[in-house]
Amino acid sequence: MPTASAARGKCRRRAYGAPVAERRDRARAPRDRGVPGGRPPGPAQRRAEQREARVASGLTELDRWLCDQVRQGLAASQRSGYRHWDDIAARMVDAQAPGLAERLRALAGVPYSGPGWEGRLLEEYALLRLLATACREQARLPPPLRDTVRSRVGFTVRQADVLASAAPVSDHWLVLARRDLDQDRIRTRRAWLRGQRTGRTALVLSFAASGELLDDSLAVGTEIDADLAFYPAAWPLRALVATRRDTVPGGPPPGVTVAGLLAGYAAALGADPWLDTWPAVLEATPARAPFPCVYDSAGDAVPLHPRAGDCWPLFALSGGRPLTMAGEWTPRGLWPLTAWDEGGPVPL
Amino acid sequence: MSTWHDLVTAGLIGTERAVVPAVGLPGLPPAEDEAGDPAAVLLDRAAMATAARRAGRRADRAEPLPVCEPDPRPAVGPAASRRLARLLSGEHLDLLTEWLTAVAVRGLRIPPQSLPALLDAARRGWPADSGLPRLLAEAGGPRAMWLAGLNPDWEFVATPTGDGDEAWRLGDVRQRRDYLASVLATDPDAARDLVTGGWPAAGPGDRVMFLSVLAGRLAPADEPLLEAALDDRAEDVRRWAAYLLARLPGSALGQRMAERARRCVRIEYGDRGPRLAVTPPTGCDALMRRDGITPGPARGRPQPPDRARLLLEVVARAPLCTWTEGFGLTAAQVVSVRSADWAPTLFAGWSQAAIAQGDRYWMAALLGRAITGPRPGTPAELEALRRLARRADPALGAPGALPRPELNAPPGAAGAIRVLRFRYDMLEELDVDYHR
Repeated sequence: MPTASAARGKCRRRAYGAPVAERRDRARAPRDRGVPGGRPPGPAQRRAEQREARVASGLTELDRWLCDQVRQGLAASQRSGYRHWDDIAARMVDAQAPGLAERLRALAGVPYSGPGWEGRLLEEYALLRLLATACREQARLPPPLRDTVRSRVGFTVRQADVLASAAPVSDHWLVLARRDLDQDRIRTRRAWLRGQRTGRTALVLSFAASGELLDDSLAVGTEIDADLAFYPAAWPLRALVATRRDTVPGGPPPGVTVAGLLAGYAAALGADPWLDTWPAVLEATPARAPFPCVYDSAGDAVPLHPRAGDCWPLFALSGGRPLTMAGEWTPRGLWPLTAWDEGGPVPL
Repeated sequence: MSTWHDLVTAGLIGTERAVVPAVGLPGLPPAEDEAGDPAAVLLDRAAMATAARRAGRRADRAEPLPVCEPDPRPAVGPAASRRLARLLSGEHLDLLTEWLTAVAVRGLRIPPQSLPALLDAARRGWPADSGLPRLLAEAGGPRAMWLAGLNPDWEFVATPTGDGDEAWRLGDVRQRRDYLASVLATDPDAARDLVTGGWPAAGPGDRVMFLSVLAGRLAPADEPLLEAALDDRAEDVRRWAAYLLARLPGSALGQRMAERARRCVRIEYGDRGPRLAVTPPTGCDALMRRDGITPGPARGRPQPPDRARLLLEVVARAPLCTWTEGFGLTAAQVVSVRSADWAPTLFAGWSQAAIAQGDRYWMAALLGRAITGPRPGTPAELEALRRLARRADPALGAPGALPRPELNAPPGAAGAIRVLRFRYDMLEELDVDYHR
C-alpha cells in the first residue's frame, strides 16, 4: 500500500510534467510571500507585480480586439485564416495570460466547424470579454470566483498551496473516464473521478511532453481510496491526489437522467459561466436519429458531440438497450468516454 | 422580442452597419439602451444570452433504434480481446480469419465494442476473402447483424434474404455463391448436382465460382467434373481445375505429376551419404500445359523455358507420397537430403505441395529444416516459409515444439517462429475461454 509520503513524492514527480506556463509561473511565484514584517519588496514580489501589470494591459488589448471583431463583423473572421487568432494568442502569451492564449488558439477552427459557426464564435468572444472584464474587476469579486477567473486567465496555483489551502476530501473515488489531448507539444490527460460517499466529481490533470508517457495511475473503472485536494474555485472541480491508499476494481456508477445532467450543468454554470466541459454520468440509450444522440427512460435526449466521431463502439455495446455511460458534456453535445456492460468498464 | 439569432446576425454583419438588438432573457428585466461602444454592448448581451442558453438548454427527442436480440454465447476473455485489438491494429491481420473461425467453432462471442473495427477491417478485406462475411456473421452473431443494419458500409455481412432456390436461379454471383456454399455444408451431393446441372449454361465467372466453392469440401466424386474442366475454354477455369486436382488425393493428374517428378528428381547414395540428382524438365509440352503448368509469364518475344520454374511447378503439384514412398524416407529425412543448387526450388515446391495437400507432417518437416538448416535465401523460399508459418499446425508454436533457431537465424525463420507462436497463443486463449 503506498504511504502518504510516497503519494506526495508522486505529486512532486508529476509536477515536472506540468505545462510550460505552469512551470514558468511556479518559478516566478514569490517565495517570500506571507513573511511578516515591513521589509522592502523582494525581487519575487516585484516580478509578481510586473506580471499583474502585464496581464492587465493584455486584458485591455484583448478587449479592444474583441470589440474590433464585432464592429467589423464576424464574417471577416472566416476569411482571415488561422493567423488571425494566432497573432492575438501570441500577444496574450507575451502578456503572460496563457489561459486566454489557449482559448483564442482554440477559436481558429470554429469558422470551419460547420453550420452555426458564427453563433459559436460569438459565444466564445462574448465569454472572453466577460473573462477580461471580470479579471479587471477582480477586486470586487468574491474570493472563490476570483480564483476561477484568475485560473482561467492563466495564473496558476502552486501544488503546495493547493495542498495547504483546504482540508483534502477523503473518499473512495471511482475513475469514471479519461481523455487525452495533444496540443502544442504537450499532452494533457483529463481523469474524471466520482466520490462514492460524497458524490463529488473531481478532475485530475496530468501532463507529459509529446513522446513521453502520461501518468497511468488512474485506470478507468478502478476505485481508489484517496484524499483529494481541490484547487480553489467558484465550483471546485480540479483536484490533486494528496494521499492515495488502496485501489480496487469498481462497479458501474449510478447514472442520472438527461434532465439531471442538464440541471447539474446549469447549477455549475451559475457559479462559473466559462465552464464548458462538465462530467456526465448517464443511464441512457444511444440513437442515430434525428441526429446521433443518447436518450433516457423519460425520452429526453442530448446530442453526441459532432467531433466525437461515429461512436460505433458505444452503439455496439448498447444494442438498442440502455447502459451506464460516462463522458464530457459540452455545449455542443456529449463526448462519450466510458460505457459499462456486463463485462465491466469499456473505454470508448 | 429579439432572439439569440438576431444577436448573431448583428455580430456577423458588424456593429458598424447593424443595430445591436435587445435580447430578452426570462427572469431578467428587459435590456435597456446602454451607452458606450455598441460592439461592447453586443458582446455583453451575448455573454448573458450564452450563459442563459447553456443553463436553460432543453432536452431533444430521439427516434429509438430497434433492440438487438440477445446472444447467449459467452464472450471471449480479456486476453482474446486484446489479441483481437492487436490483429485489427495490423499485427498479423492475415490471421484474422483463423481467429474468427476459432471463435465461431468454440461457440464464443466477440466483445461488442470490437465489432465496429472488425467490420471495417473485413470491409477492406472483402471481396478478396469471399468467406469473411459469412464467418463474421457467425462469430459476430446478432450484434454484428444489428450493427450492419445501421451502417450501409457493413451491409456485406447481412445474409441474403428470400428463398434459397430463388437466390440460385435469379440471384447475383454472390447470392449464388452463398446458396451453393450453404448447400455444400449440409448436403455435398446436392451441391455437386447443382454444379453439374448449372455448368453448361454458366459463364466463365460462374464456373470459377463453382470450383472455388467446391474447393472447401473436395471429394473424389468431383474428379470427373474437374478433369473435364482441364479442357475448359476459360484459362481461369483450367487453372482452378488443375489446382484442385493436384490437391485431390489419388487423382489421375496427381499420378501424371508424380511420374514427371520422378523423372526430374532421383536419389543417389554416394560416399558422403544420399543426395538428390535433379534434372529439371527441358520444356513444357501440351500435356503439361493441360495439367496446369505454365511455362512462365507471357512476354513479348519467345523465351527459353525457365527450367527451375517448370521444376517448381511439377514438384508443387506432385503428391508428397511420391517422395516418402518412392525414397522410403520420412518427410523430415527427404527435406534434409543434399540437393546442391536446387535446394531452394525443391523447398518452395514442397512447401506449396504441403500447403495445397494440407499435409501437417511435411509442413512441420519443412519448417524444422528452414529453422535449423542452411539459410533460406531466395524470395521463393522466404515466401514459402511465410506461408508455411500461417498454415502449419499451430501446435508447432508451443514452447519447445520446434528446435531452437540458430543464434544467427535468418529473418525468415525468426518471423515464422513468431507467427507460429502468435497462432498457438491465440488458440490457447480461446481454449481457456471455451473451458471456463
